[in-house]
Amino acid sequence: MTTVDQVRAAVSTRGPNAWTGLPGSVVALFGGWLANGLIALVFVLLIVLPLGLVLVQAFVPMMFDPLHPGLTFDPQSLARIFGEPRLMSAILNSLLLAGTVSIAATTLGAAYAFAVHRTNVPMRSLLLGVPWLVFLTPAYLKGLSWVLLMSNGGYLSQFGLLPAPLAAGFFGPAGLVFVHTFSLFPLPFFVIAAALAGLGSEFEDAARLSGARLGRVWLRINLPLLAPAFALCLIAVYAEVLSDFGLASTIARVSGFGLMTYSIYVAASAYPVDFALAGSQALVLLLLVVALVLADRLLRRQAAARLISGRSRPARIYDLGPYRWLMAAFCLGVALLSVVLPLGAIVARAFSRTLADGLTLSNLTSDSLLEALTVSHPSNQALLRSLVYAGTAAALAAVIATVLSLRLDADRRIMRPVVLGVSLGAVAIPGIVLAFGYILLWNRVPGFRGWPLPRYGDASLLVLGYIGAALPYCLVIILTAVGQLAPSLTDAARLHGAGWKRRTVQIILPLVALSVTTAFLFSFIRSVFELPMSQLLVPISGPAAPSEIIHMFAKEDEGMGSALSLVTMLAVGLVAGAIWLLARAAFGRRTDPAPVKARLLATVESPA
Amino acid sequence: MTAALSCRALSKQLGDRPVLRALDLDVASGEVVTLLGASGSGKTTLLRLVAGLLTPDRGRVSIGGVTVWGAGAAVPPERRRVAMVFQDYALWPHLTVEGNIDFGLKAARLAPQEIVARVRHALEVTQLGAFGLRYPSELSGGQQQRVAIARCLAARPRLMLFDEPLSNLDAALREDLRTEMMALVRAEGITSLYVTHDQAEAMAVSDRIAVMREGAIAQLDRPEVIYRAPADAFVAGFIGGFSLLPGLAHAGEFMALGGASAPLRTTATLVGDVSLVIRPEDVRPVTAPGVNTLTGRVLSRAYQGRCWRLVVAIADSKVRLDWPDGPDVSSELTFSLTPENCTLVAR
Amino acid sequence: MLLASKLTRRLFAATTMLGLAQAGAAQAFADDLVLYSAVDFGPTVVTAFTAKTGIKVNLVEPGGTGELLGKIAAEGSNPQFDLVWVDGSAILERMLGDKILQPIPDAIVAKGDFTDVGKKLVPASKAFLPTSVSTTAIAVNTKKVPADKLPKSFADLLTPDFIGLVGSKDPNLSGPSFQFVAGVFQVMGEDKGKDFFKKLLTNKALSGMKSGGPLNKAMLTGDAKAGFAQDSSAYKMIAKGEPLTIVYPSEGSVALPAGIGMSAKTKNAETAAKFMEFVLGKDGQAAMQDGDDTDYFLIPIINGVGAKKGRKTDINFVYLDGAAAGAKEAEWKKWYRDNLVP
Repeated sequence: MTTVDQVRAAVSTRGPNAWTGLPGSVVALFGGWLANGLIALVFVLLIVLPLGLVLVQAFVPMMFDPLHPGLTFDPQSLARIFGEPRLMSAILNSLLLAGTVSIAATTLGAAYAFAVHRTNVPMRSLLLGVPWLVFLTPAYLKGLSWVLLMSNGGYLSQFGLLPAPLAAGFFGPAGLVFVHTFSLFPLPFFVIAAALAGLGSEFEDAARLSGARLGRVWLRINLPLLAPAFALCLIAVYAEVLSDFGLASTIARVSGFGLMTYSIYVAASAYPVDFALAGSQALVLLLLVVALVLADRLLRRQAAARLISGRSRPARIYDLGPYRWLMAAFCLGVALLSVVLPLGAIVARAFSRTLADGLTLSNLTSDSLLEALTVSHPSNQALLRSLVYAGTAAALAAVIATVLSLRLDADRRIMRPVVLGVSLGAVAIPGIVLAFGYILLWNRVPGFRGWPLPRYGDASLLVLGYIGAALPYCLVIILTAVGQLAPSLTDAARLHGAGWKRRTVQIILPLVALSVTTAFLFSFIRSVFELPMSQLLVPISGPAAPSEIIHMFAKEDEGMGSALSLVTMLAVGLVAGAIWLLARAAFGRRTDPAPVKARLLATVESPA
Repeated sequence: MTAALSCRALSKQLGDRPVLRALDLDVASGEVVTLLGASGSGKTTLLRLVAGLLTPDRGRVSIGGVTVWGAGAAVPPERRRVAMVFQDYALWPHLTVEGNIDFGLKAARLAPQEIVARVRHALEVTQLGAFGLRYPSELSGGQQQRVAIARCLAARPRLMLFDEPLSNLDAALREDLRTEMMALVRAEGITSLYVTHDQAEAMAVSDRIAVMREGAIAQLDRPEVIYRAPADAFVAGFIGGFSLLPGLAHAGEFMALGGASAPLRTTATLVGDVSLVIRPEDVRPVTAPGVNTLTGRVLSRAYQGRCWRLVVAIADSKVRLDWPDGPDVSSELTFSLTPENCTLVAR
Repeated sequence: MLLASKLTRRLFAATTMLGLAQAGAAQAFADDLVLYSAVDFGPTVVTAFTAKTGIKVNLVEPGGTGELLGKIAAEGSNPQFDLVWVDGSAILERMLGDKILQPIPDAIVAKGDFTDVGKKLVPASKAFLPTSVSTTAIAVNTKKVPADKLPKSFADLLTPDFIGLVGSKDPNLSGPSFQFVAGVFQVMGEDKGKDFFKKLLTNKALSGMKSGGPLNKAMLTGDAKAGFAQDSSAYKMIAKGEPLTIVYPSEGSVALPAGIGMSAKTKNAETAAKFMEFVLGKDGQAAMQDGDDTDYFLIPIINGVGAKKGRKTDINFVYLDGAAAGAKEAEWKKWYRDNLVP
């Protein structure tokens, strides 16, 4: 049927719309196009345009030149990248590092998710908190903590726990892989935990009845069903590692292991900023991720399995018997290396005057912490500002991502992979590039310059910047959750007379509510510690927390910096924890499979 | 009030594969028609087209005399007043049983007393009265499917669609639930379109069966007629249990290929290249020698309580028979068929 | 209930955005002076200025110098500041060349009672108003190097005692470090200078530090015995009790002025003038030393103003040939990167 026919048809079957007097269906039809357009606009405005303005300078370097702006095509920066052996080897190093860490972190996250969600490991509630704690700790703090622990005069050597070859070998690619893996495993953990929740036991049961043993069941049935989730984790972690500069420059000081992000920071650390070079490098990073996304799409032909269906069967919990203490030991080991040691080092530093004098009683002081807790201290005002900005940005990002995901789920063939690919590509580009993009867009481009909201120099633009930085992650989390809903659930709702609004609000949203909350908390935590945005888009009304904290570290006041970071983490943790508990109470019970105890006892299916 | 369904020249292509080819179907008000076919035959696609969850490339769908798709009309599923029982039940896991049932009623903005009454009635007739406040994950498969049925009944649809509703249940449960389900449907007299690949189920529930093959209807008739006189070899082969024996027919006589047996007399009028349709329950032990007999070798036997099911090899074909006892495997077996039971179909 | 919470969240977000917008709009941009600063004494000077004159100043501190430069570079031909205050002359000259800054009016420059050093630091182009000066010298860990073994010149460092044990910042990432490297090349000649660095900085773990922080850490708790550090940073560490001392090489140390630049598009020229005059006066100068961070240990360039106690001020300054250094900047930075950065 042609569009005209559709419109005519629509006109004949619905009454007039109350607001406009036009036939209701016509409004609906145009409303649909308008909604799609608005969604695309928001995505473009928040991510595509700002990034694009920097990336395009790889080809048009004089676009924003202060003296002679021009649009001549001149890709010499891009050509330089492929001409210089140093830059080429940086690309290879970055790829190698990102690939290794993505496999390691995904494996670790998946193993941890399996341990905590599918076995009867003891101390489960405690272990569930570990990934959140890891995620709550900002990256620069993780880097600092390992330097505090592993350097020659550091805490581990002060306790005699550090053999010399380990110390020497740590500050190179090996140590970098280690620190990255233990700091990035929460993302795969969350994604795979969500996927496991939807993986009912019937697939396993069928396989076991065919004679397959447990190992084979997991290898041939469950893991392939989880393959889309795994692919997502691998790509997301890969992108994260590609964009890192802080950890690399702190940990991998030696060893000739140059990375791409170094070149970007070089380009961005002088006046004038070499936008062409920064743009070219960023473009390469983007393409490295997009290539991987395309490869994944081509290799994994089948669409993601829809695991949340209307046929609810709880998942099986494996009873490990005495081995569960071994599993607990594994999980505790992970907790030790990812949370206890690093945070311990930071706490120790916050309570010490100097690093060199170590953890002796005379060196202990509560001055830093007390100062950090004084409400009138400028950094606490910065903290309060950060909580408000980050909370607003996270809420808006979660809402936008949810609306976007629902719209995209309908169009799975083209739009979904494109948006996902661009989002993951955005993750791979260092935050400073996105921050530049925001300044260029809202301060230089005619048509955007004079807007009252958001306004350059204002907190409103900073919040927008936070949203842009957090949106890719929100999209990844929520798209995955929405994608797992069985279509028959919405089909049934349609047949029972529910229009899109009722369907969305009463059927889809409750089923993805926990994931939306997770996305919100993710964004909230990230935004509080979002550094490049906070620095480059610093509002005139006063800086946000990250700038203040980094300022302390730059002044080499590590004790104060550590104390401030801890206070910030505590505040964020409390707020996030409260919100999570509320959400769990509201949405958790019914969409989760039955509680652990009930499942272990009810091993036999009750008859009809 | 229940309505008639009319489909005209429905065509649908999925990807580069034509799934339905100019299909016509009429279902009278209150009638139960089953779409029977193998996977890929287009039966589920047809069902979804009627529901409105898919749109046809060409053709027209009318419910109760009103065109819902085609010739300028495009009524979305929300407004067709059609209910569907899904293969995976499609119960909303975050709503209770009552919540699942009254969801559609609330969407239709019915009066609260009416909603309560309908929910209560639906729970009663499906014997789920005690489970109103439970969640789907707390129920067994059979109970979940009953909730799905109750949900449809409460909605008082004009047309009910069944998408292989029993295939996820165990055998013992299947027959009981089927009987229950159809009793409810008949009691309310709701027009129904039923999809299944199980011919026994199809024959048990339907007023008429549409045997589907590759997007078209091979035969649409009452179950007895299809059983007694399948339209062609495909239909005959599909009605489970039937066996086909290729041969030549000429002037009331049938000669099996391979020439192993004497010609059989038949009342069928078909001539030329044909297949003989052998229904397992029609064969008899030979009482009088030479009267329409066939001989073959026993390949396997299975005790079924009432009789033995044998698979007998005749020339290059395998024939399934019901037999009063169980002869040894590899032994020779001769059986007879009355001429009236020698149905022929074109080969 | 779900509806309520989702809706509530949206409402909260919306009202907060509006609230922020109001807050932002309420701040009258037009009249208040906007100062972009990367110097530690920014806050103290601003507080003192407002206390004395009652004029409000919006102090914007993006973070380090790098972030500040990035912000200004991105703002490009549409600068959002009135005044900028950073370390480094080359940067400010470039900004003038890009017409982001305008020359400081002669009237204001005349108000400064500069010392000889100060007079030499006023640029011909009037790209900036110099406010203080520091330099990069050799910081030495006194616990690792006994007093009699202290180096007195760059040449003294080329001994087994120091080779491979001296830390240096990466000029690609640190402006003062580039100024230092350019200064060494100016004093020794380019080839001999390159030779010097290559012979001395054999440990790549120490030669490409990101900034002063890691350099100090390397000297105090790491493998380095000495380092090319900004002398004010070293003085700060000494004041804290760290075992460091400063050596000014006999060959000469390149002067690193801090300066104020004025935006070409400022609408607050009068207020800006008042601020700059304040900085040149006694109260401003006092405020500039009222603290214990790195930049407070500056060398004043106004007559009659003393430095902090113990802070050496009579230094053999080398004045960088800005044009020459600017011309070779990309080449030298690349050389350093290719040879001395891991």
